[in-house]
Amino acid sequence: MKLSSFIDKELIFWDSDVVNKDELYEMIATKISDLYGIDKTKIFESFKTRDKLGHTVFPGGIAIPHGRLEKFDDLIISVVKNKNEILFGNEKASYFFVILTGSVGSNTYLKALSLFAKLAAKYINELHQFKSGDDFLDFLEENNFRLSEPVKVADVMTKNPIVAYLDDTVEKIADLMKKHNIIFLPVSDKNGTYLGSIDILDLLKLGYPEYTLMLTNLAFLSSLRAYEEYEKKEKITLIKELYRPAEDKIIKSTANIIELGYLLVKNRWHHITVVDDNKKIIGVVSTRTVLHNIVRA
Amino acid sequence: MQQILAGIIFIIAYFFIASEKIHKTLVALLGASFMLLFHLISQDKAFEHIDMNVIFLLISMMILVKIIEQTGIFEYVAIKLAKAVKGKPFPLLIVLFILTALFSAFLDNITTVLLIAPISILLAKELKISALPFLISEIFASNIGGTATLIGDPPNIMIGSAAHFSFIDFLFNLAPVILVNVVVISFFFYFIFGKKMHVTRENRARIMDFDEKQLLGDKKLLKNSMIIFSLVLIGFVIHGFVDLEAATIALTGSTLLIILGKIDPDKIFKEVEWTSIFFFIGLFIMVGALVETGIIGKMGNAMIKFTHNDIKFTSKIVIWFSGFFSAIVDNIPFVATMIPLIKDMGTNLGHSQVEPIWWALALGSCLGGNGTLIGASANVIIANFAEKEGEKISFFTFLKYSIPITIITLALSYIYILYKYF
Repeated sequence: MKLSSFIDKELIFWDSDVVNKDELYEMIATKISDLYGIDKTKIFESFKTRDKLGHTVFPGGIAIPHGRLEKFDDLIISVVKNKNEILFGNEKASYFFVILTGSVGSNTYLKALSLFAKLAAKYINELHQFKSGDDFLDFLEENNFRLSEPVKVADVMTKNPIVAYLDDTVEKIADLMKKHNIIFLPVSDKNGTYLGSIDILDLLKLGYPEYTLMLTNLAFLSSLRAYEEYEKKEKITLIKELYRPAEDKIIKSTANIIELGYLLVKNRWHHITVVDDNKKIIGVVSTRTVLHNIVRA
Repeated sequence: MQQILAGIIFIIAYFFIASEKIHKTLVALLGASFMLLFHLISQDKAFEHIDMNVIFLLISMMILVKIIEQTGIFEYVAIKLAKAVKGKPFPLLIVLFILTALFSAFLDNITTVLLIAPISILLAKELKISALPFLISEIFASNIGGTATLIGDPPNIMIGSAAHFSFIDFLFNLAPVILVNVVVISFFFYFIFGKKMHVTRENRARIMDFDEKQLLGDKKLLKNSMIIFSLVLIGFVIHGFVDLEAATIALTGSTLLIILGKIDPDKIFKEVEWTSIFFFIGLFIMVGALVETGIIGKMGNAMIKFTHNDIKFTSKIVIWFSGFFSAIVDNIPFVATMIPLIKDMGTNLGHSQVEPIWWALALGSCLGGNGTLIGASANVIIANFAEKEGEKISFFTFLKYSIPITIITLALSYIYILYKYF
């Protein structure tokens, strides 16, 4: 599917002159309402609702706002180049790829989002040179931008994650987790190669050695020596004693998000490490990322 | 030619089982497959040689124990006893030793140590002493206790089924000498561990604070389990008199408990140790091929020549030889091979005549498991356990205890056999 097939000429506003977000949304909502007979207020509100969750402005002043309408099963894209920059969240933007889609996470929407993100990153100079909306559409045609490319793990992952090393102490890793509000770290060797993973439950095992886990329950105890000694042990225990050398809890950045979701759901994993062809760690994806970047992107 | 081929397959399989380079179940199944592929035994005959009494007794007991395990009763009893001796270390070691022996007489050894070892380590850690004396003594207890009954150890299940001994036969013939062994070994422990164990009053107080009742979560399942387990034990006691096999009793009991306990059958059947079951199946087929090709018959004749049909002499040889052999390699394939040999002797000399040899085989092969750290599966499991908790039991450290203990227990059994049957 060509990206250009999703963009109506009437929804391209080249050199518009709006002064704030509300005017921008008003302009687009009015046009969509005229073209498709959808209630204008609903469209406007859908953009505003999504805005409350935060903004993404790419370098070069490109923003990709979007709205979701209930019982709507299409994808409408509006492209705006404003004469002046307007405030978008805390940043300024003058290019807007505005997307209107259905209420449930649509795959086409994610593909469009990732494509625009790529466009923003790679073709900012070209964008500046276009004189009209037609130039822009021609450019899309010529370069054959397509939505058929599935969204890749690289598009949704958290890049350059914090990693744990085998010789780190449990104390250091627990501090890192607390500081960055994360509960999972890939374990890496000195060259950045993936070795396994460690999460907060692995650290907690220090207080619950295997013999305790084999008992029916621990309700009969009011104190447990291993647990009491946790603080003392976390200073001297190294990650290599506790981490899980799980070879398979990885995914390549080039894999698509269908495979990603499959692995997470099938194995009930809450985290997965993203690696390149040489098993170098380049990112992580957590179920939290999935919620924010895929399910409720 | 067939005999040679069957012999070669068997010896190679035996070698691989002993070397533990490939999983023993796979070796046994592959050996069995070759016996079948080369027409050394027909498939019909091979399946006849699988002793279903053994297979079903094992499966049913595994299911029973897995369900009862969930009730927490085993740990409850262990803690109750620990509190009864007020957490004093040596008395604690002895009660855990006796408890392990007792559990092991009714449960399989691996299950027993998987139940007892965690609670023992917990007790030792709370008392701030080494768990090693507890774990080492429990290895011996599991092998000694398991010898006492029909269901205590796989060799006994196999012998019982092959020689048509009932649960009561085992109890009358083996339990007395096992009791003596337990008492004697307890004294032995007193001399090697008794004086070295010291614990502060404060650490003992931690044990006394345990609220063991909390372990018994599902009271209804506990009640049902106790009723069914008691009925199964009664069934074992009378099965010889009412002409029922032990497997029938266990199968009925385990099925009833699954129903009464509202246990998910899918889950509980997954808990059965199928690798062990298939190990037995493979072995039975391989030994079956030895029987069918006539090797066992020849070996039997050779044995008769060597022993001059002297039952007393044969019993003496069997007890020491099987003890020595079981210390080094798995006792199950050894017993599986010995069974048709002794049966063969029984056919020639009369079945009641060879009875002492059966008991010698049971005592030797079960107690021999104590001989080294790799003598029985339970030993290996405890050693792995100890190592994970940072208390390694090395092969040679273990020998310091295991050699005297194995010699003492085999010697007592030897005297017992000579005194009781000749």
